[in-house]
Amino acid sequence: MRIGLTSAARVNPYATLLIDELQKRDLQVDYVLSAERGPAGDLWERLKRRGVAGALRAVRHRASAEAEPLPLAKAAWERGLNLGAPLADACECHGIERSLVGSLSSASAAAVVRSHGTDVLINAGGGLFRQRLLKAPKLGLLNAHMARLPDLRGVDVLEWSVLLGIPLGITVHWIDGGIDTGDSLQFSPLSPQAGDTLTSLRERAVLLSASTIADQVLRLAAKPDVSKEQEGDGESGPADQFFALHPRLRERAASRLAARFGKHVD
Amino acid sequence: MSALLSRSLGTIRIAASPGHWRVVLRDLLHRSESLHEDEAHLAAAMDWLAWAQDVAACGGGLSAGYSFRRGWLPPYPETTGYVIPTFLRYAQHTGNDRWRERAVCAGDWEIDIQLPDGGVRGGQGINSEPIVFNTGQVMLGWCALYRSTGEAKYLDAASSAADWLLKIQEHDGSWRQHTYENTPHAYHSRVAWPLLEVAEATQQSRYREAAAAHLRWVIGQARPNGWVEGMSFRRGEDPYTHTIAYTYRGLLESGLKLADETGASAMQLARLGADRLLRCYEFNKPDPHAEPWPLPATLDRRWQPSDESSSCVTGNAQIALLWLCLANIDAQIPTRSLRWTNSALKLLDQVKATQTLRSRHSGIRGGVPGSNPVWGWYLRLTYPNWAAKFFADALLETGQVLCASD
Repeated sequence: MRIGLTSAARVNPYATLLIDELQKRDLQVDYVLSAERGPAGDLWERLKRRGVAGALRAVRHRASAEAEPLPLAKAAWERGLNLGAPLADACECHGIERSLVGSLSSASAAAVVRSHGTDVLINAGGGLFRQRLLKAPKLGLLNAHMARLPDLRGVDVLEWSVLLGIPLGITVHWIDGGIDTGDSLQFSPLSPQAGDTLTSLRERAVLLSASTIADQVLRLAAKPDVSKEQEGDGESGPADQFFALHPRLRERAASRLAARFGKHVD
Repeated sequence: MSALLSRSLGTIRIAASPGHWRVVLRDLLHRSESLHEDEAHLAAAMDWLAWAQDVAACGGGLSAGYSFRRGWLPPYPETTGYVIPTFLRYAQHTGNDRWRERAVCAGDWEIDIQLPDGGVRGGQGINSEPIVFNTGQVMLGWCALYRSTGEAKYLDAASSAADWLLKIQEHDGSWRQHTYENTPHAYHSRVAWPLLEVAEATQQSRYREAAAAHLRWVIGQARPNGWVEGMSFRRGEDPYTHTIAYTYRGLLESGLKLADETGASAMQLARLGADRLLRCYEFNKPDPHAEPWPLPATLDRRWQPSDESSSCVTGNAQIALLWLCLANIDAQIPTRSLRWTNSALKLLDQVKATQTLRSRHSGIRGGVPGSNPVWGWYLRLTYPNWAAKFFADALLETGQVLCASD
């Protein structure tokens, strides 16, 4: 099975975790298709996304994070991974080729995927993808979505799940032209633990995403056609799309989580 | 010559006030006002509305707003009428009867100036020609006062206005005479709504039938994508979000009151339009996690922006209110309700960011501009009273929606 990963960031903990999870299952990543920018580009993207005030808030939030190590840091320590290192280091360490492209939407990105004879491309960052990239791998582009599909499509869906009381979990699905509408392969439930906050829960979801997607790639290696159409995708069309959560509703989700599983509030 | 003089005076007036400069500079530099708790913004908007009533000094009518060029504007019968329910709701919210007294004053003034045939005077100031839309909006105020006080004079005034509306209604259910530019408008759905309120209060089916006929006409103007033709002030122009919101709110409130096939269709169309507006808003941003850009001032029939140079803040407050009303209706279905609420909160934050709480200028402090930037096409350099009204309504509705979803 020829496997490729997409990435859009210089430091990509999720991609590093994915490489590790796949290797644990004797699956080798052939290449990483990366549209990363330099450190200045990363900073610019963050500022564009959050604004100056939002970026400062995120730094402050990180500085005041709980004394208890968060799930990602804990997992990294146990597995001997440096999730804060550039993805290039992990690629070098595991002998994975890194193909740098200006944009994952470009024709050259699709050409790289085809030239590797890719069976499965895995989304480890890159946002919305063009059809030409979706059609380039033989089986398709796989994604781990942080909610149950088709119930919750869109972004911030983990927080939406908490807010709406929908069972938490990860859905692995193929990416098609729509927003989280592609055929699904597996739903893995996510169990919050005592004291979980939205931040720690999200990190737990990242860990589960990496292991679930690796499991599914292993399954695909044995039996390529195991996906099924999402329920509710019939005549009524896909369910509503959910958008970035307003801070007041995020706060409410954090309180609901705290009320059920602990005292910490994000 | 006099136009030139008036223009020169207007320019001098704009330039003479430091308060004006502060707002212009803020918008020029793309800065925002600080965001506070809802209650602080709500109190400021209500105080501004109270001042708009006091400064008009006409016995109850509210000044149409504050203009950088012309200062405080003359009283505006139409919007004074629909501010009445806002005063009443705020009285209930604060437990302060002063607001109820203001509502009563406004309602009595509207009765004093009602035309003998029942219609409500169009435009700002005291004009002689009645206008259909304005009549409907004042009827909303009278009906609210009738429910609140039980005094028959308010229902009588509303019934007389409703009779006038029925008299001039076209056979197809639309209104063409005594309308803005003498053309039928889809936003007259906001006239069907008060007709249904009068029908409820008087138990007279003729008002209900007239409202239903009009709704059928509006529904007949709808395209499959939920767009309704005739939402603009002038034929051939793309509508402001202000009149788009008028149209769907009218359909929604009428649909709730009309428990038949027409009502169901009106509700369905209102939901479709509100959802298209939500998509227009939420998809217009640099990346999926970012805050959306403010809605454009006008949209075309494909739901595409047609004037992105400014945002119609008044329309934004109305659209947030429309989503919150839907959130309230869908309270039993949290996936729907909180989805509406989420977008409404974001849009309201953008309205809050245009409201100055600390200005020394009474026309600006607590007021909400027609456009952002303040020199945008919709009511250029003006703080209309209806922007503050819809903003206050939306903040009051927010409290209720968040409470219900707790």
